[in-house]
Amino acid sequence: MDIFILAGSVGTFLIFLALHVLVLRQISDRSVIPVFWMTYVFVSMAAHVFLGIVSSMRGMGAVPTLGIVAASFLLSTLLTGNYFMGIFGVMESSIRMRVLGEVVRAGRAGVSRRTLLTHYNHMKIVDKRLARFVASGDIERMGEVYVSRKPFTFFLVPALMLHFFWWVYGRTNIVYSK
Amino acid sequence: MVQFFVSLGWYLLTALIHVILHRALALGFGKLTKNSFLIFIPSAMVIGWLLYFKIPGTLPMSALFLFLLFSGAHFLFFMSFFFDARSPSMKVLFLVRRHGPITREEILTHFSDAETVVNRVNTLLYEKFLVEGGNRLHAAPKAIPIARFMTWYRRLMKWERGG
Repeated sequence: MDIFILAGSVGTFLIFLALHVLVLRQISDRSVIPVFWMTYVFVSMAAHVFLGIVSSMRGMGAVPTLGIVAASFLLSTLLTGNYFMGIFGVMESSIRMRVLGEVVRAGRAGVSRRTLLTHYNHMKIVDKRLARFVASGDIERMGEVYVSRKPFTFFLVPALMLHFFWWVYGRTNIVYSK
Repeated sequence: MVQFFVSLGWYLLTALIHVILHRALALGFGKLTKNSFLIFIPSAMVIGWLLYFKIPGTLPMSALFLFLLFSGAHFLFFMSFFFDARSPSMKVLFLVRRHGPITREEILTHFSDAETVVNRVNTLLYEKFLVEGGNRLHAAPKAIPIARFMTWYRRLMKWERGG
């Protein structure tokens, strides 16, 4: 049973990993994040239905089968969440990574802060995020103004989590130690 | 399934100890204490030992994996908090949701280069991924493999420059 759950969760993640590259290579706009999660839902559903069928065929009862599928789903979702936060999200939208890339690209000569800010600044950052939210449907552009009509969006989840971390840890981060 | 709940409980206990340790070290001694997260390593060893030798059940590997994944997610959120990675995406979204309809120019008044870029540059300097000399920023050797991986990954995904 243990190996079934592990194989189910890691297998689901590996299939997703391969498929999300194929799918996201076709996406040209900034809606990669919703597509990422839609791909995961599709792969996870298919993989866990398959896991349930295999588990039943091996003579396991309904309750153990449901347990295996639920546990495997939980683990594969956590695995995908870790990948999303630790690699995908960082590569897709991290300002720190972009800065690092700009400095490495400058080579041995390096780059001054002023030059860096002409290539990459708050206006570019805001424009990119507005374009991303419009593409994902989280906000709408109506002429010159932006509005939001969705009562809830996926992007609020990490914001709420981070808010929770601020509350739990208090003023103990780098800002208060510099 | 008992092992799953033990694993979850152990993670929550470790997280609580970590929070107390971090707050105590940071406020009590005025030190930067992101290394307090290392408490999760001995904790993983202990839960592994408990799951394999002390707690009866048939899911020791999956339960241990659960602990590691929760710890991994915790680490990633903790690092975002620690480096004050207040997300501009979230800020844009909150501005539009709370103050919309809002124009691009009105949104831009809530942002600055200091908050979005310079703050990150300073963090990279502090973490020694960048070095500054002669008024110019240079990549430290430990930044090169990360930048190479980033280039490879973005090429794989057919993405333009990130950020």
